[in-house]
Amino acid sequence: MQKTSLSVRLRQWLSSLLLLELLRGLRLTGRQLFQRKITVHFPEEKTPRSGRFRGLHALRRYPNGEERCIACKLCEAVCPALAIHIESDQRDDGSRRTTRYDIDLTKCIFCGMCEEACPVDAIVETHVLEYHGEQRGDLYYTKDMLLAVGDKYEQQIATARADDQPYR
Amino acid sequence: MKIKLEINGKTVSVNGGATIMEAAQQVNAYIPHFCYHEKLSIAANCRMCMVDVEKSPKAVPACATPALDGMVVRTDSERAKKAQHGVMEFLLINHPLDCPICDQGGECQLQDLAVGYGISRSRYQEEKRVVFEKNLGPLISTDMTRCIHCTRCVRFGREVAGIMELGMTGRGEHAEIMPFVERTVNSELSGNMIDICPVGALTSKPFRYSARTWELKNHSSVATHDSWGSHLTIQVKDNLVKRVLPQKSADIHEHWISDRDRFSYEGLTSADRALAPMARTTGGAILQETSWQNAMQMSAQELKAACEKYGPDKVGFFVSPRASSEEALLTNRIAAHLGCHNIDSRLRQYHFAGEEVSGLDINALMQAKTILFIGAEPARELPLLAAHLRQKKKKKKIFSIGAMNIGTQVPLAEQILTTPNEFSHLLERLLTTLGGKTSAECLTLENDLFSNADSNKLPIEKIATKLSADTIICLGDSARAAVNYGVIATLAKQLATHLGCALGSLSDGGNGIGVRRAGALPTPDGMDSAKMLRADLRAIVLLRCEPADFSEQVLAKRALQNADFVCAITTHSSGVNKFVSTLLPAAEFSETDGTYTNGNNETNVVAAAVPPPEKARPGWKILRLLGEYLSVEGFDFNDLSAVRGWLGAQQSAQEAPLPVQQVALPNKQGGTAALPVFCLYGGVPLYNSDILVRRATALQKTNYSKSARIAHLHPEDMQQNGLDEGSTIRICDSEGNEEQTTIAADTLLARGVLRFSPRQLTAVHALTIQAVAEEKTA
Amino acid sequence: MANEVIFRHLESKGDLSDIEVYRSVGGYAALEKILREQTPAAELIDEIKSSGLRGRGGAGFPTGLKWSFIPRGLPCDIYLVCNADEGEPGTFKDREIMMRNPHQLIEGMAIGAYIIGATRGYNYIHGEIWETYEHMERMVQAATEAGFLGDNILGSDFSFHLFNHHGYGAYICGEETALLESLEGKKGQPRYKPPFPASHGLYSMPTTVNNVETFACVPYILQHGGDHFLELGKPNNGGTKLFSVSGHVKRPGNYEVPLGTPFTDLLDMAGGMRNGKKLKAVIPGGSSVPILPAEIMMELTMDYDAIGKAGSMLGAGSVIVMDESVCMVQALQRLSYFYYEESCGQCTPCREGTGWLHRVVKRIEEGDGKQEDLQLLVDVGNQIDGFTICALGAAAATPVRSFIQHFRSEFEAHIEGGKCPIPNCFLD
Repeated sequence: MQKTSLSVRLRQWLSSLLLLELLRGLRLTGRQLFQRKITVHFPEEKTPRSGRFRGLHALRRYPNGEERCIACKLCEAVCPALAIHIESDQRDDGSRRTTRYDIDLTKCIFCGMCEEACPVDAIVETHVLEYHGEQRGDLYYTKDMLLAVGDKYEQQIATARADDQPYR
Repeated sequence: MKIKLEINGKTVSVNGGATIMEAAQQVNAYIPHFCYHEKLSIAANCRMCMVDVEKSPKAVPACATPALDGMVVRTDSERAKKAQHGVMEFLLINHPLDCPICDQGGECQLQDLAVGYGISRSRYQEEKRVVFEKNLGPLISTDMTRCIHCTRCVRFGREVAGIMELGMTGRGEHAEIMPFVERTVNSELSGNMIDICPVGALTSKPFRYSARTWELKNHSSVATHDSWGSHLTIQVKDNLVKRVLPQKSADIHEHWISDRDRFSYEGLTSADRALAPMARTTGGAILQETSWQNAMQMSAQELKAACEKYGPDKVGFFVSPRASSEEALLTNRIAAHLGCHNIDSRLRQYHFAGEEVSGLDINALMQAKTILFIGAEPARELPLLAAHLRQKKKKKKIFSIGAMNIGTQVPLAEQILTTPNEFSHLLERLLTTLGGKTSAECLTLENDLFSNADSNKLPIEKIATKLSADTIICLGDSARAAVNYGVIATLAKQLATHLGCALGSLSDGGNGIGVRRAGALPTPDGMDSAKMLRADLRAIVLLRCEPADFSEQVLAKRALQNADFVCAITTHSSGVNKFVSTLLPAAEFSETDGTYTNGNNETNVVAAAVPPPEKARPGWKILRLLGEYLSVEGFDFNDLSAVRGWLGAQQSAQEAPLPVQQVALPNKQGGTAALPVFCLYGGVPLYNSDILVRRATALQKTNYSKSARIAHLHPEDMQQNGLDEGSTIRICDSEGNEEQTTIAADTLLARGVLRFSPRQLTAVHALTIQAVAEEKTA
Repeated sequence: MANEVIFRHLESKGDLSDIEVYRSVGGYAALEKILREQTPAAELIDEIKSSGLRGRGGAGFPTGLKWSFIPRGLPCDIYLVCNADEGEPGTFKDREIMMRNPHQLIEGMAIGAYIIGATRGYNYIHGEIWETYEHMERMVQAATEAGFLGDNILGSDFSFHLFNHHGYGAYICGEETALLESLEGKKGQPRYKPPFPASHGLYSMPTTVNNVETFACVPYILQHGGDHFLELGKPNNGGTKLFSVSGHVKRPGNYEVPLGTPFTDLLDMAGGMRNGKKLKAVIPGGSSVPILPAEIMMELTMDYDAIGKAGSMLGAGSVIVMDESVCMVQALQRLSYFYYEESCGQCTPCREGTGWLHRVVKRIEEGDGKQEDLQLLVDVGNQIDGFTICALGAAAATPVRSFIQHFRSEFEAHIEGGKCPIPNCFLD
């Protein structure tokens, strides 16, 4: 081990003795004390969110009320957490539809790949992050629940998608 | 002659006449293609397989260009790639971009090749072509806009299915694949068109939209609906069979399976599937769900009680020819333990005498120069055998003595159309023409058999001269259902012995040979199925069969009704729940391990693809438990290996021929009334062959099934008797049973033959027909 | 020199459809001579080879060579087929031969049958010229009654039966293998070659298919000698050729002139340009061959080699003359529509590509074109040409490429201006 020079050791000893490190830290504290506060009072106040924020999932409908999902199961195939479960069949009008569309939000890692994979923009992630379940099963979202989320937030979903359109 | 050429720098040596495509396959140089299919003729119309041949001015299609000595081929040069990319662009301009809802998505040749040869953006901005859907029947669903006009389906129909039901009409962009106007695709092999379609234009209707291909797990299995024993791939999702596909093999099974094997899986989930053990309350009329323990206890007790009370010869075991060999063996052991000799699997036979003919040696068939069918309808009994005989390049001479014109199914050299009652007589004449001797008991009784044709003009000699040691004689189910089948089989055996040729049967059923060998045959002391039905049995055990599996349905129902105790180990309840005391839900072919032996004597050991539904259990487990309750020796095994050991050691059930007795054949003039006498055709309708097929909804909607529900006669017979197409008739047998049905004309039938599946009739070889006056509707 | 071979006696001797008139001018003499002398086939083939006779149907393949490909001595039927399915836009010569000199065709076919050893011949007549079919039926009957067709012709052991068959107007049936399919009763779709008809033709038997005009030249050659025929034209381009001149000329019609005649002469025979307009472009061989602008065309002689060198083809000799009032975009739109409708739909590039070409050209014509469309048209054309089963694909791509090559500015004007720059467009 190399011996540090005497002058350096003297300087270290002095700075410890005079609590210089402490004062330096306090200087930062003092500076921040008088600056504008950036914390918000959640839930009354909310931080701004990116248009691409990935929150609670939703299934969308077309303006005429027809559900968008065509049961292609690409989201199910791409989901890295195996959180999506779909069953499909032919509806009476001959179209391909899901008979079951479940997302287990306890498994979901909110990577957004389902959204990427969807050819008809049916499964999307909304900006909603304040959802909860009181039992574990409550976070197992079925098709009806997902459609209801979609219906509720359609305006916001559509705006986000329109904003992002030039980059897709 | 071998030739050498170079493909992508690799030298390959092929037989002269091989194409570049075949040569490239040898060196694993993949050439993209759509219209080329190794089992079909070459069309060279998709132009996807263009390759670059040195010194050739243009790129050439690899599928149609013969390989030549010293050729230098590049499949990936600039010129080849340019051609392939160009064709891919053309194919995609009018192909809809609906892969997400297309059932072919994930297994689509166009999709796969578009990744390798397509460009990511389309330069095509004009309108796309739209083609209207065609109705091809209940099995094939169409999205003809997706069609890329490779004509594989057309060629399949023409070359393999033997009947051209699809064709390309129109020119240029207006070209469309379509069936004949207002017609559907009715071939019994039509499902294969779904497999060979490289895009999603033809997809499976029952499977439509129910799963994606990447979700399905594949399991190997064997089909159990006929003795061809096609090798299957069962595709499963969430423990449900979603689809059945053929397993490609180089041998006789090729790439094809029949629609019966392909679509029968729908019956696995039918509404009447037996899902829980049921038992009838003591003396009560209600069949109630119960525990396995209860049901077993009751079954064992009642069986034992019946044996003690009435003696074991009042107990009968009926085994379906579709059961696995293990199931048959265990049933045999249980019967033996009870001292009962009455066990049989030949449910569609009336006459048990003389020689037993079973199995069909495929090797002998392939080598035979002539084939003689007796009472056979190959396309219905073994659809793939018919496909094979049609395709065979080396022409075989095929003869037929039958009740139906099978010239539409296989290329025939000569045929004699006659009623099943006359088969024995014709065989006898064939034998005597060849200088053979008929044993006395086989002599046909002096009878006025021929009434519809001059018997001297029949081409007996013409056929006889062509028969040799290189012949194979095949008996079909119309012969097996004949009133004197024993005589027919004995005469066929004598003819085969006289010629020194092979003899086989088409009508053994899925595992008929396996179950017989495993012991589902009566011992000499026991009764065959026909006798059992007439023996007033007190206790009956049904193994995976129901009354509709018997040729004498009405007798089977009566026997079940009269018995004190009926135990049905069955997969489906609706056929038997009126009669049973205990119902033990069993597993179907895809749900149980089992050993199956096909007509060619090949034994396949199959593993379960899915577990049985709900409380149903594999048949062998049920039988094992039943045996244990009956304290049968050795029934404490835990897996099938022990039973398979027994199977190996099982004595061949092939016993000495039974004595033959002359059978009084019905006389044309012998009807009691002044009514004409007809003989039943006897063949089992294509989609009525077993318990599972009867419940496959799509198959039941086919035109085949529709026509099987009514009776058919030759148009001249109808005219003679003043019957109109679609009129109602009453059919009576000589024992006083009668049944009403609608009648239609079938030009393929022989005169004097009635094609019909009777439910109420017993003596079916002398039926009288009467028109029923139309009831006036208000 | 005009009207030397086929229409030689057209004006002087009356109606050649009358077999007696035809015989009086030396008709059937060649056949009689051959049958009398039992001339060996090889000798006759040599004679035809020396005449430099090339297929008049469009491809220009040497006839003598073609006939020598037919395998001899095989224990199977050999068929002779006459391709009278004249469907190419701008072509109208074969029906005139059949109407005005039918016996020369029949004689030519009988001689052809003798040479290749055929006993049966079929004359496949285009479905849209019904009178011609009926006329040929009468002519065949007359020839049969006169003993020039049928069993043991003129007492020899040579038998030849000729049947007329009319199509239903499909252009593709003019392609020889599609014609054979159609003759067999199937849908007229070209076959993949090889095998060629010479070994696997009609009913898979050796077959030769030739044009009406080709057959009609044969009696003349055998009567006057191959060398004489060759001298009529120029080396490698023997004989005279019928040119069907149509378009903006004063006297459109068929003109039989020796091969090698300058185009200007042909134009003069046809009366020159109509209404004193200027010549703009000429399609020298029917709609499938590249168009040539006036300045190139006026320098050319009408023969296979000269026109080939100029970048086009003589084809079936169908000269379509266009004057300055023609809008090239509209002309191309019509042509591409024809190929779009007439593609048989069998193979991908042609089925999909012809429709694409037509739609893009139509869009340009309607003023909705884009600058990159021209490159797209050329690309699509190149993607069709050479990758199809038969030549229809190439025939559809050729006009598109040549029109753009020679008249690019007009296309660009359409795209930029959004309307046709030619005033009072003829096709309007």
